[in-house]
Amino acid sequence: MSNGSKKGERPSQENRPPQPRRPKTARAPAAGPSRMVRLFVSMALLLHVGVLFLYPLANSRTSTSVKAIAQSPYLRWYADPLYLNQGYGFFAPDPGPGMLVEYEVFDDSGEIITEGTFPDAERLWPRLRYHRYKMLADQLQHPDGEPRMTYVLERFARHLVRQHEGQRASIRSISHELVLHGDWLGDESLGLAGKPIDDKSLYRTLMHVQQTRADVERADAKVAPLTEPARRAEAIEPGDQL
Amino acid sequence: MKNLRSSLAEYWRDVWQAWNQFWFTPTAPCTLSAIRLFTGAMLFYTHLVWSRDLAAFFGPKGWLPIDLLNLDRRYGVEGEAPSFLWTLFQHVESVGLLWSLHLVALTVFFCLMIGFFSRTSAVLAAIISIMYAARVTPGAYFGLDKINCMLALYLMLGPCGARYSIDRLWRMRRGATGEVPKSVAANVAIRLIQIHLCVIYLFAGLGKLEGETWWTGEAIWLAIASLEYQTIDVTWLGHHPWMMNLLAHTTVFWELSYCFLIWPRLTRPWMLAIAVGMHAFIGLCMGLLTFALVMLIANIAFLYPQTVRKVLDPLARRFSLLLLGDKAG
Repeated sequence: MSNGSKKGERPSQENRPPQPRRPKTARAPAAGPSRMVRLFVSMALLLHVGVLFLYPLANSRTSTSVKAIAQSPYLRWYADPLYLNQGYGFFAPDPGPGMLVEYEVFDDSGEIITEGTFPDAERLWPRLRYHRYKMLADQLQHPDGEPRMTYVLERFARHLVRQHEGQRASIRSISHELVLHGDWLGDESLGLAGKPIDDKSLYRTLMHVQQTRADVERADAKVAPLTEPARRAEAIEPGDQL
Repeated sequence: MKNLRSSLAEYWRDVWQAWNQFWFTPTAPCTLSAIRLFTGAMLFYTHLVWSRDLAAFFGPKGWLPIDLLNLDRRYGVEGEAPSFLWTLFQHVESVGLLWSLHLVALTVFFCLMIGFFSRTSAVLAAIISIMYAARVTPGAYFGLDKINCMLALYLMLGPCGARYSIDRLWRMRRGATGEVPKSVAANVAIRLIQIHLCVIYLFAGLGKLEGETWWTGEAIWLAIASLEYQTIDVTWLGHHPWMMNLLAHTTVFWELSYCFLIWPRLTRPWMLAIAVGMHAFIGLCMGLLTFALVMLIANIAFLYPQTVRKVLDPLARRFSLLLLGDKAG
């Protein structure tokens, strides 16, 4: 099929068959970034993906080498601000007991102003709000153990005194142990009845802490201006460093 | 020797080519746009719920006072580098200012959801969501915050407002009716979400291997017998141990194999179907609905652009016809 031009000769503008017009915004697929840009981006991607693997790997059981790399300020300046220094347990290694916090706030005459428990599904709605309070209670299970629990419970109690303008707050951390499957089933042949999942014997008070208005005032006086990191550090007593 | 050198050179050429293809092939931004829409909605809802307890959680003297934050950030601890994680909330004392910031944050998340100044909203949403999470870490954070921050972080890398957005409607109103161009940045963002998700599931699976109950199958029982999590009572599963064992083994196997089996075209639909089942179970029975939803939103990264378009384009078209009439094209 000839278009009227000589063999090998390109058709002139006016002899070219009409091309369909492209829509206004349609562009040809981009050829992509240059080789240099690709190299630079590739290095950044390698660093990023390395960080993604590193921090979940740097758990309490990992090698000292991984821990040292993960703690290095050269990586943490990148991972910390981007919130990448996280692990992803999700019910690992085993689903643990639930934690509850029970409290009472008293006025000057010793009367209860308010009392409650959190997390409380009936009071804390919607479910996400309930879950925030559940996490608040769950943080009492900490590898630092009792000193940490005391430290956190004291702060919870102080918040309750401030919030309800009370004279004293009494607060308890309670562990709700999970009933094992075998115990729930029981054993008819041995005459053992199954234990329900809310059996009273599964609840155990771990710690009881009280804070008074005077404790709150003392703590408030100790807190340095928040814009000065050095003075903030001073606000932490040596005994607080768990 | 020459053969070895040429084989090595060829190998590295292939590696570079595969790397290029994986990261730098332009892709249609509809998947990223769909993730923006749902992530924006999730961020908006998540932070709206904070409104009920804003001063209690974010104020300097609430449940999580500043000194507790300082302790966990290791400020002033000799021999330890303090955390570089920073949040504006650690400097905010006034409740009025706290609320002002909160309203700005909600506006940004809403803009991200509807795709209004999408790219700017995405950058701000990433910064803001990390600041919120940083203030309640540790204390009141959980998996939802990690995934919210992850998605917000990657959304800002690509043209997340190219589709299903007010930005798109605005462009159409000004006469842009053609196909949205493919984008390398959209591909990079989607790839990062995919890889991050693989890391998350891999370590979730590896963590479970350290426990005993995920091996024995008891873990599922312990999860459903936890009153503090329970929203639907499925303890009847306790009368069918084989079902609980199957669920425990499937969960661990699925989490460990996700990073391998999600990539091949043949196994991908099965992995995604199990993701839907597993997260629906967690969301409905254990009350972690927001977490389940955000995990499923992240899994959208593994949907092919044509699948996303099949589902969302008819809805988007109706919406644009409603708002623009004939100009919708």
